[in-house]
Amino acid sequence: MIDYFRSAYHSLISHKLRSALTILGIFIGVWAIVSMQSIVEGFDNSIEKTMAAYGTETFFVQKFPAIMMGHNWRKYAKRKDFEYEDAYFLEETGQYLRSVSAYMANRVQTIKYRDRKTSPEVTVVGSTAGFFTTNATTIATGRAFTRQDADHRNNVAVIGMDVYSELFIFEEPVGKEISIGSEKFTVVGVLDPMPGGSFESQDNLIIIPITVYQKFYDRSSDSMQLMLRANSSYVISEAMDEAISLLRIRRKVPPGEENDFELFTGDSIIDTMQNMTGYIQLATLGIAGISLIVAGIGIMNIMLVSVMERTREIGTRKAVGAKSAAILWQFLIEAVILSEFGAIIGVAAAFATAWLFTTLVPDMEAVIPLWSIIAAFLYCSFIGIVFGFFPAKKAAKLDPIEALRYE
Amino acid sequence: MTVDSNNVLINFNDIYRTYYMGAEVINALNGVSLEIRKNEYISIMGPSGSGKSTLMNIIGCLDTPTAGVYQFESQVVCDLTGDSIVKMNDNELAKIRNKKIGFVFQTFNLLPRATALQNVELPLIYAGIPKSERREKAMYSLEKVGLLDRATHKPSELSGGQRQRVAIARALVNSPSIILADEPTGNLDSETSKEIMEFLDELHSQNNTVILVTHEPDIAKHAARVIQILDGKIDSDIRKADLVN
Repeated sequence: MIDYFRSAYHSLISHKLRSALTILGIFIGVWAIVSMQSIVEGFDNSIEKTMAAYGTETFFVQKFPAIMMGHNWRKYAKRKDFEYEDAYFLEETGQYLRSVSAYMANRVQTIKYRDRKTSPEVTVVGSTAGFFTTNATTIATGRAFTRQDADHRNNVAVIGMDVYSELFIFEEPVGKEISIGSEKFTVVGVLDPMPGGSFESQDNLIIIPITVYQKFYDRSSDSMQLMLRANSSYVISEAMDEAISLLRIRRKVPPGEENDFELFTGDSIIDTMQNMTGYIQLATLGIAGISLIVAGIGIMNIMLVSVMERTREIGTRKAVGAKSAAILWQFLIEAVILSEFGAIIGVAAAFATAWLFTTLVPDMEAVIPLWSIIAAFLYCSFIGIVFGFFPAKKAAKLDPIEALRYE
Repeated sequence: MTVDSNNVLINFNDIYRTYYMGAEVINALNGVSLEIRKNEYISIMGPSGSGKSTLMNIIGCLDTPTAGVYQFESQVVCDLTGDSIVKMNDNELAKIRNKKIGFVFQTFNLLPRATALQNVELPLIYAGIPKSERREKAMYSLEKVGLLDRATHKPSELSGGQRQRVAIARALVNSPSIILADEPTGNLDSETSKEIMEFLDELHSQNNTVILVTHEPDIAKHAARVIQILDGKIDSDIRKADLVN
């Protein structure tokens, strides 16, 4: 058996270019499968990490579904906008709701303080005062803004740690005046660093009262979101039920009709995202699976050529006593070695891709799942056997006399 | 002349090999009966199309007859007389080729990418002999043909005569019962042919059974027994001793 492997190896090595080209198809297929799996896996993990930061007590309400697929955008757009007063209403009436905030964050802008500028641009969040409690953030220095600030449309701002460290060095930020675009704001507090975060830092933000945000930046409330925090994680479902019924009353949804808003938790986002990445995974598996079949046909082709070319060799081997089975094994092993070799360099390339991805995309770690490597090798063996069998059978069945005479 | 039946190596009894080409029936062998004993040196001669190649293929177990009885040593390769049909299957034939027969071809038929040593080892691989023993036997065989110093050369690096000697070493390596040489000098110049023929003569003198297939009388006369084939039948079967008498 070892001799079969050795002789297969020698015959492949002696046709380096041809073997390399045959392997190419397998290589690309395996590389595509394994590296896509690793990226999807990394993506899933990072979503999970981000969503976990919200904890198990919070959930969200908005007009649009958390993740929209398909093209019924219009249906959701026609729904009534949320108002920031909805947050006040829910917080005051809800028994299970510890705090509720409304916020919008569609804007990134450069913040200036004297001659300093932030780079990159900073996410501007307009929110109600409840934001700080619903988000469970703490203030490092100064204070959070209050409902009064919102009601009076005061130009006050609470800045994230990143903004702070970029604009103020050895300087007390509270009370300083900064500008967002052309508008001046007074810094009232700095947030502690927030946990989690995957694609970008969670601390590169500035929070201003939602009333001010709407006045300066975004009159429409299309994108307003409510973030709700239950009294504890034990009553999260009660809190969600309560929020639904209160909102239905406030938004005058007739009984029996479906909600005109969407409710979701971090977990439900993870589920939806993983559902989606599952489809992507399945699609790449399918496409790459087909490409490997095509590559297998390539192997079969080359093996047939090889059998033709080596007809005399087969005749000689049979004349000196090779049984048909020995010839069959010889060619089958060649085909399997070809496809496995393709798999090996495919997996190696996938490791390189995963490493590149991890390096280039911050906070994202592409991990190659072990099962995908095993599956790649098994599938390639399968391809090698299936597509190597016909040429090998053909070689084994050759009549020794004719094979010896073959020119 | 007394015949020790234990010495009979090959026994052909009324062998036919018939091909059907559409409606045409061709009898490549048309009732051949033949006995070959141990340590004989035989030439099989005949013009092309006479059936001598078919005869050689059947002796060498590369082909099987369509009628008749063929016994190799004590084994029945096939017995197709009457109701009893005994026929070795492909694996059994492969085994006989492997252990009992050493082929030497006109075109050498060496594996081009393997070294001389690897070529000589080939029959031993199929005999399932372990590597160290294989190497030893192959080296011994190469030594016998005087090519020990060429063991690591590939066929393309050897002269025609050297290639044929590698092929002979390969034929000898499994200590076969017969050496079957099909036009062994057909692709060689006269000088090299002489050398190879002397070598075959020497093998015969070392108690090997040698069967030559040739159409050259010069080559055939090396043998002690010359069998002429014509139209699928034995035309004449002459022993040198008879000629002398």
